Amino acid sequence: MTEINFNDLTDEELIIKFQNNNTIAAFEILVKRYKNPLMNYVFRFLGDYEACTDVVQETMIKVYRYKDSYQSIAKFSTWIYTIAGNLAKTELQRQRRRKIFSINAFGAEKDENYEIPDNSYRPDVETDSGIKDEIIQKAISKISPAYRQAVILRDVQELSYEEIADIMEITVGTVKSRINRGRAQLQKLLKHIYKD
Amino acid sequence: MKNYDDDSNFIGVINELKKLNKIEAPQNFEKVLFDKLSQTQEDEKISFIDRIFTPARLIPSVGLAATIIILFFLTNIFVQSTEENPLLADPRVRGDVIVTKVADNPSKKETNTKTETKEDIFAATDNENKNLNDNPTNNSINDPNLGIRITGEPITNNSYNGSILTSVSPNGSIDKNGLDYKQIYLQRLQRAQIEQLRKKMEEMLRNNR
Repeated sequence: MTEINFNDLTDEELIIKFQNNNTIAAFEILVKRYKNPLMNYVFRFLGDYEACTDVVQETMIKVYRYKDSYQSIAKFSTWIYTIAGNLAKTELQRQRRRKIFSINAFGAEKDENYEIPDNSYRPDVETDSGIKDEIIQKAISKISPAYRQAVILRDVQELSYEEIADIMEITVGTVKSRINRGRAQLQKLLKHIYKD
Repeated sequence: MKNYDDDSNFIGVINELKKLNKIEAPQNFEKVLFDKLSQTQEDEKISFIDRIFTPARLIPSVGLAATIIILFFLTNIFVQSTEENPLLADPRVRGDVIVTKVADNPSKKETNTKTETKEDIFAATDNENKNLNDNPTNNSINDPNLGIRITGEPITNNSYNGSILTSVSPNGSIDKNGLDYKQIYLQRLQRAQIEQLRKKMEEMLRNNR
């Protein structure tokens, strides 16, 4: 009898194996495949590494517990991105509630928001383009969550419009509109980078 | 209509976003994940009944129940305390006694009294007051100014079978009819004190004249 190499299987085949036989090895492969893309996606959305790790782990736990709710008509990536996106939005709302005091008053005249410094591990600091990366991340954090999600999925995760539409549960036209508006806002916020 | 497919306006932004550093999961990601998963599974295995009877939940609930029971018996919150306190209770009222005379034959008097009408009671009271006024040697206290008659004969050394007549008849004297009052049995000493007071008052009235 030949041994199945799980690494050769597609995501959909792996989740079906996990659904039918409760094969932990199949789940482990899925975790390996998706942990970094999801970390990248959620980090860009939240801007907080610790919270991002928790959200991605929670996503994996949900996949494990609710594996039977996945239907093979959809792509596995769409399903897992939807879960992660919903959890990230919930976390973002929680973070907003946690901010007891607002420091908007400091920048009220200029209509600017000051970010509370995040002292947790920041991967961007370790690279040469760290400062630029940080500026872009701050700009991403300033655009509205709906536009932010669309822009990240398109320009950071490089997903197709159709996939983004499925993940966000909106039409392709709306996806394109949101991406455009998000990009426009980003361009405005990052003007000074292009001057340099 | 706006053309959203044209990305040329945002080439700079798109390139910057694509050049962003890729974020990676921490080294212990899988380990922490599987620890969390095993913890979740353990939590699911514990049934509802088991959860209730764990010491962490059982001890506080039993303690609370015991406290409530003890407080219930200590305070006895459902019984009105005024009913049991003799000092706060109303005095016993003899509403059935309307007119009482000198107790030659008390049982007979009582039966007669119950059958009397209101007019009869006024008439009887007037006659009684007249008799008492006519016979000052009678063993009674008679003060028409106060509208009080104390009549009766001592039965024993410590008790006195008589009554205080507080009736107000149509001619102005006090009547007991319709009044609730407590019957007082005067002792010999009390009677003597009242007699003394009466004499003093009579003397004072005489002097004033």
